[in-house]
Amino acid sequence: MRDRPDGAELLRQARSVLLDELAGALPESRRYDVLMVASAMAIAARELETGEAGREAERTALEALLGPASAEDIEGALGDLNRRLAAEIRAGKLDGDPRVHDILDRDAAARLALSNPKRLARGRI
Amino acid sequence: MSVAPAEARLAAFKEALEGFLADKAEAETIAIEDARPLSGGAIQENWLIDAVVTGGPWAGRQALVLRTDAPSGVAVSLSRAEEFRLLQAARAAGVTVPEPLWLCEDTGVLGRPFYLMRRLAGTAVGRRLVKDEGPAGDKTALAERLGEELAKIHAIVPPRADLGFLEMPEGSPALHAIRRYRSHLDALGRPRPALEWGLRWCEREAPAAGEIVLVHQDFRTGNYMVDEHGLTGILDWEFCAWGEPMSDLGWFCARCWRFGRDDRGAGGIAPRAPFYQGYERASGRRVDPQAVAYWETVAHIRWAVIALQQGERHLSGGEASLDLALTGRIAAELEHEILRVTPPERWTAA
Repeated sequence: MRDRPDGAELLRQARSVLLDELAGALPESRRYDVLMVASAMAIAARELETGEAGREAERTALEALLGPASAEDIEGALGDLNRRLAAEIRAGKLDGDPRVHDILDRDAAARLALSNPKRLARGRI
Repeated sequence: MSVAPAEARLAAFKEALEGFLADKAEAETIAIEDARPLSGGAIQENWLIDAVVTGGPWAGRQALVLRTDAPSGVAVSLSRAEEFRLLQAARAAGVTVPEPLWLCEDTGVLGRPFYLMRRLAGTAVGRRLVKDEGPAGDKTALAERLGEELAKIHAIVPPRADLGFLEMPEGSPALHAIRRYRSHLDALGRPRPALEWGLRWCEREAPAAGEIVLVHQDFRTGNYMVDEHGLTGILDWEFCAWGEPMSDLGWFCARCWRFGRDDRGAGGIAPRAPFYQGYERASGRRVDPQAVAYWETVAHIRWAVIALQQGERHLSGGEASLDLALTGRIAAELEHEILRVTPPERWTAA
């Protein structure tokens, strides 16, 4: 078990200090840098909070489509499955396949929820 | 790689640069009073130069921009000398560009080739431009004007001896682009199945090879300057090639270049209609909305590949940079958009 406040909680508080207290003390010319740092901290905090959730589900969906992965560990398995998926799509073996589109769409949405949740919320036009 | 701060680097070249400028401007003396690096270019370095010229046709104060390769530049775009020739060709074709002044290919002056252009007034910052109260006045008129400018770029057609360095696509420009992006993805070495999905869709739906013109390939909000009266110049000519005219319209209209104003199809500044009208009137060419939509999908793939390459520059340890690192993470939203526009029911071609 990790101590509290945990990494994500520390990052969120550090981000508040940066934006609410430090940003105003920095010259206007550094504003873009402040926003980039704040953005990086927010992404890191969201990734820490999310942890490994969703990765097993991604593996299950990909294995249902492509057969078992060649690696046991989740990192190796997802690497193997995604390489095979990419190659089969490129080779024209999965053209317009709704199952593939569904898997890819879920995965992209999950990654977008980490990197830019506002964009995800604005989502579909 | 560690590089000296930009200020220190230019200070070391000040005298040599003054000598070069005095020679070109046929001046008695030139004093560089101020030289400030502009942030932004990941591949190029731009400097604002204030010079006082004594004697000769350029006597007086001159506001210039010096453009050179960044010290760690990646050789993916045109050289500065090629860019200079494009600016000359564009200016001759009536495109609104910063006036190219002097090119220096002698690496004895700055250590790298560079050129100078006249400085334009205004701003190019995309997220400021798309604001209602932002600069440039009437945005409908601006969109129309940009359509006209793009038409003038597309009036430059091969063969052109002065632009012989430009790449000519083999066969269909769309298929040519798809082959290129696939090889970039292979070089990056991490599978991107969502981009493969988009690329395969683009391969199946690729339009046949048509008219070939000069394409700017980075004609978008963020790459043109405006002041309170409107457009002052089209910038960033480093990705030009021969290609399909509708590809530039797709890049301009793509959702990823609307800076959050998804509702305004013409680069986040206006609806598509005035942009298309300006283009059609000045080019005599019909805008094919379906072809533009196709190229918008290609645009998202292209930007995702570039973003991943930028992220890799950070990751591979060559250039630790938060800007590059965050750019790499843009790929997810581009992939999300690519999937939105290529659902199974849109796989129509045989």
